[in-house]
Order: sequence, then structure tokens, then C-alpha cells
Amino acid sequence: MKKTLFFTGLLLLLFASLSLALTGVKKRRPLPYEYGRVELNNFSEKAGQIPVVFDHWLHRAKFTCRLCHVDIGFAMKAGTTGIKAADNMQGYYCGSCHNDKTAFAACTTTIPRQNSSKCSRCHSLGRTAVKQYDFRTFTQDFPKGRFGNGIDWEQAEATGKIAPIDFLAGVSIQRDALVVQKDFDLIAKVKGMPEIIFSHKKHTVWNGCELCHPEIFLGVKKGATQYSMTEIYDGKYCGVCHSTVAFPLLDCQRCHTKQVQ
Amino acid sequence: MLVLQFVCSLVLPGLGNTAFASDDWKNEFNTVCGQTQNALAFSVDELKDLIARCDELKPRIKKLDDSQATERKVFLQRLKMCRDFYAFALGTKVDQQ
Ligand code: HEC
Ligand code: HEC
Ligand code: HEC
Ligand code: HEC
Ligand code: HEC
Ligand code: HEC
Repeated sequence: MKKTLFFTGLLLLLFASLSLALTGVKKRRPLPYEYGRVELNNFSEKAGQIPVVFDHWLHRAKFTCRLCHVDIGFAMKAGTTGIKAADNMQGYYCGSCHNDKTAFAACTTTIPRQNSSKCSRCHSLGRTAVKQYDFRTFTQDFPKGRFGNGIDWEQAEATGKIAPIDFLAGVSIQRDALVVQKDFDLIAKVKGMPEIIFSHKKHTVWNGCELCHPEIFLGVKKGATQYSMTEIYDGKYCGVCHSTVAFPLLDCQRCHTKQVQ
Repeated sequence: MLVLQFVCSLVLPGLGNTAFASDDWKNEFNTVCGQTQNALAFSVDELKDLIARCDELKPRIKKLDDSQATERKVFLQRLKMCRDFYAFALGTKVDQQ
């Protein structure tokens, strides 16, 4: 009885601090179309441009995480890649695709006086009606999820609503098929807490090994790294992705269930 | 070193060939880092060799001149992920022994 009470208390405490972190004055909970949004302004305003808005929902529907974060080399923390207009123009970073071939072209050195709408599809912070993709229309028949984008991305892929591309000619390395890790359970240390499921296999297809090891998960032996929910809330370990782009931590049961599929 | 390369080309056909071409660093990068997904299938020696090849690549990429600053930055980052992952894989092997 005491134990259950203690545990419920712990849960409530975690919930409270989490909701505070997500809904506090500074950071309100993002709306479905805002979840996974990155605003880029290392150089834009200084150069007289409107800051850039990058949306994960659109890009992840089309490409794997691995393609962008391993092959193209985008960092896993907002603002830290340091993308410059010149990089894009030489065909790197956004310019790997936004080159007038895979997608509309990115930056130029001079600001076109008439056709600035070309720029404002990306340089769009605070502007409305400059984008062609509408979140609601784009995702209307995707399987629904409870939090984050409000989409069950795993199901969207499983049911063929999306088929993210994992190879970009001239950028990606031609590879053999993946030798996939055996799946394993992660066992939660606290008694009474449902066990964690973590599918190595599925995560590897989305992310690629080198995105997680050793940068996010350093531990060499399974169970050697001790991670706690507090650290995960802090944006470490699972929290790197599951508080920003993949379904958020509020969705407790999606991780705290049993059986690996 | 030559012996190593010879052994290597026996064990992993097609791997050892480009290692010493002077400026073909991108081919070497593609060969070395195009196998990360198989890392756990490699032996300790194979992993050590791959890591050594990563370490040889680094100064070659660093030497790219400033007109290739973006390429240098992107590939140093990609090389780091690849090398660190092989080192991680090696760690799990050594651990198992
Ligand atoms: C089209 C390319 C692209 C795809 C696909 C993509 N990302 Fe990103 N991601 C980016 C860019 C660009 C940034 C911002 C990097 C920067 O600001 O330096 C980013 C940032 C992030 C961040 C940091 C966010 C933050 O708020 O700090 C995480 C985590 C992340 N991505 C995870 C993922 C996951 C998980 C997937 C797959 C479901 C994914 N990304 C798919 C391009 C992509
Ligand atoms: C595909 C998206 C995209 C498009 C389209 C785009 N840009 Fe950019 N641009 C970026 C990103 C990303 C950055 C880096 C943002 C930051 O951190 O400030 C950037 C930065 C810039 C900068 C800042 C200076 C610098 O050296 O980085 C200028 C100037 C710029 N862009 C000009 C333009 C102009 C002019 C156009 C229209 C012809 C344009 N961009 C269209 C993505 C885009
Ligand atoms: C892996 C390829 C890829 C990369 C890398 C990439 N994009 Fe895109 N992006 C696309 C594709 C494809 C579309 C859809 C284009 C279309 O249908 O016209 C798109 C669409 C967009 C749109 C939607 C515009 C609209 O009108 O709704 C924005 C904004 C955008 N990208 C910004 C960026 C920025 C900023 C970056 C770099 C930080 C980036 N993208 C990197 C492939 C990419
Ligand atoms: C989404 C992140 C993620 C991806 C992608 C990923 N791993 Fe892991 N990996 C983990 C986690 C989490 C653990 C458990 C670590 C712990 O318990 O400390 C782990 C553990 C391991 C271990 C040690 C555990 C054991 O079984 O002895 C190895 C080896 C490993 N991963 C290899 C790989 C390889 C190879 C790939 C690509 C085929 C890969 N990982 C992809 C997150 C990931
Ligand atoms: C992305 C997956 C994920 C989500 C979502 C998630 N957790 Fe966890 N949780 C973990 C992992 C991983 C651990 C550590 C397990 C271990 O050490 O073996 C953990 C551990 C815990 C623990 C054990 C004590 C501790 O701090 O380590 C508690 C309690 C907990 N989580 C509560 C929650 C609650 C409440 C939610 C929802 C608000 C939640 N978790 C959502 C992955 C998740
Ligand atoms: C590198 C990014 C990344 C990291 C780190 C990561 N995940 Fe995920 N995870 C994803 C993506 C992407 C999905 C696809 C679903 C989505 O985006 O909502 C996913 C889906 C899942 C799912 C649902 C699919 C399934 O297997 O049933 C679970 C459960 C999960 N993650 C648990 C975890 C746990 C536990 C950890 C930490 C040990 C973790 N994840 C770390 C990116 C990540």
C-alpha cells in the first residue's frame, strides 16, 4: 500500500514537473503543426533577412531522420549546425535538396526585388500565407496520435501513408542492406513501473546506428548507462527525439508497456 | 602497412584498394563509412583497421582549402560520426571477450 502510494506520488510529481515544463509561462505546449518546428536565426536577421522556419512534419513524411541527420549532417540540437546561405548554394544542408531539382531552390547572394516570395517560403518567421503546404490538408488522412503532431507516425509508415526516402544521390553512400540488431527490452529499474519497450530494429531503420551511438547512447554494455526519467525529461537519451520530433514524453504508455514487437 | 593492406584486401575484397590514392579521399570515405551498418559483424582487427583508415582520412579532409569550407565541415562531421561508431562497436567486441 505504502509502496503504491509512493509510486503514485512519484508519478504525479513527474507529471506535474513535466506539464510545468511544457505548459509553463515561457513554453506553452506546441500546437500539432508547431511540434518539431525549428527556427533558424544564426545569420538571417543580421543579414537583413527574416529568420527561417523548418518543419519536421513535412520533411519527415518524405525523408528518413537518417538521411538528414547522418548523410546530410544536420545536428540534433536546434541552431547548432550553423547553416549559412553559402552552404545551401553549394549544395549542402538545405541545398542538398533545395537546389531546384529535388525541391525549390534555397538562398541566393542578392535579394531578388520582385520575386522575394522565393525566399519567403523558408525565410518566413511571423509571416502567414507564404507556404504551399498546409498541415491539416497534408495530414488529414494520416492515422491519429494523441500528442506531438497528433499523428501516429509509425502507423502512417506501416499503412503506407508515408514512405520516407532514405537515399539521396550524390550525398548518401550506396550501402548493403542493414544487418539489424536483435531487439531487446529495456527493463525499468523501479518496481511496479511497466517495463520499457525499445525496438532497436525500428529505430535503426529510421535513424541509423551512428546517430544514436555513441553520441546519444554511450553505454557499451546493455544496462551500463543508468538513465532516469528526469534526465530523459531534460532532453537526454530517449528525450533527444521524444521531446522534440518523435511522439513526446507525455505519451507514457507508448514506452512503458511490455513486449517487443 | 603494405602487409596489412594486403591482408585486408583478402579479407574484405575491394576495401583496401583506395586507401593510399593521394586525393581520392571521397571514395575512401564512401568505402570506409559505407559499412557502419555492418559494424557488429566485423572482427576486432577489421574494426581497428577501419578506425585507422578514418584517422588517416581526417587530415586529408582538414587540408581542403577554404573554397571548400562547407565540404570540409560536412565531411569532418560525417567522418566523426562514422569513426566514433566503429570505436563504439569495437568497445562492445572487446567487452565480450
Ligand atoms: C529534411 C531533413 C530532416 C529530416 C528528414 C529530419 N530532420 Fe531533424 N532536423 C533537421 C534540421 C535542419 C534541424 C535543425 C538543425 C539546426 O538547427 O542546426 C533538425 C533538428 C532536429 C532535432 C533538434 C530539435 C531541437 O529542438 O533541438 C532533433 C531531435 C531532430 N531533428 C530529430 C529528427 C528525427 C527523430 C527525425 C525523423 C523522424 C528527423 N529529425 C528528420 C532536418 C531534418
Ligand atoms: C530552402 C530554404 C531557404 C530558401 C528558399 C532561402 N533560404 Fe536563405 N537561408 C536558409 C537557411 C536555413 C539559412 C540560415 C538561417 C540562419 O541560421 O539564420 C539562410 C540564410 C540566409 C541568409 C543569411 C546570411 C548567410 O550568410 O547565411 C541570407 C542573406 C539568405 N539566406 C538569403 C536568401 C535569399 C535572398 C533567398 C531567396 C532567393 C533565400 N535565402 C531563400 C534557407 C533558405
Ligand atoms: C532531404 C531533402 C530536403 C532537405 C535537406 C531540406 N528540404 Fe525542405 N523540402 C524538401 C522537399 C522535397 C519539399 C517539398 C517541396 C515541394 O513540394 O515543392 C520541401 C519543402 C520545404 C518547405 C515547404 C514550403 C512550403 O511552401 O510549404 C520549407 C519551408 C522547407 N522545405 C525548408 C527547408 C529548410 C529551411 C531546410 C534546411 C534547414 C530544408 N528544407 C531542407 C526537401 C528537403
Ligand atoms: C534510437 C537510438 C538507437 C539506434 C538507432 C541504435 N541503437 Fe543501439 N542501443 C540503443 C540503446 C537505448 C541501447 C541500450 C543502452 C543501454 O542500455 O545503456 C543500445 C545498445 C546497443 C548495444 C549494446 C547492447 C547489447 O546488445 O549488448 C549495441 C552493440 C548496439 N546498441 C548497437 C547498435 C547498432 C549496430 C545499431 C545500428 C544497426 C544501433 N545500435 C542502433 C539505442 C540505439
Ligand atoms: C520515449 C520513451 C518514454 C516515455 C514516453 C516515458 N518514459 Fe519513463 N522511462 C523511459 C526510460 C527509458 C526509463 C528508464 C528505464 C531504465 O532505467 O531501464 C524510464 C523510467 C521511468 C521511471 C522510473 C524512475 C526513473 O526516473 O527512472 C518512471 C517513474 C517513469 N519513467 C515515468 C514516466 C511517466 C510518468 C511518463 C509519462 C509522463 C513517462 N515515463 C514517459 C522511457 C520513457
Ligand atoms: C534518434 C531519435 C530517437 C531516439 C534517441 C529514441 N527514439 Fe524512439 N522513436 C523515434 C522515432 C522517429 C519514432 C517513430 C515514431 C514517432 O516519430 O513518433 C520512435 C518510436 C518509438 C516507439 C514506438 C515504436 C515502437 O517500437 O513500438 C517507442 C516505444 C520508442 N520510440 C521508444 C524509445 C525509447 C524507450 C527510447 C530511449 C531508450 C527512444 N525511443 C529513443 C526516434 C527516437
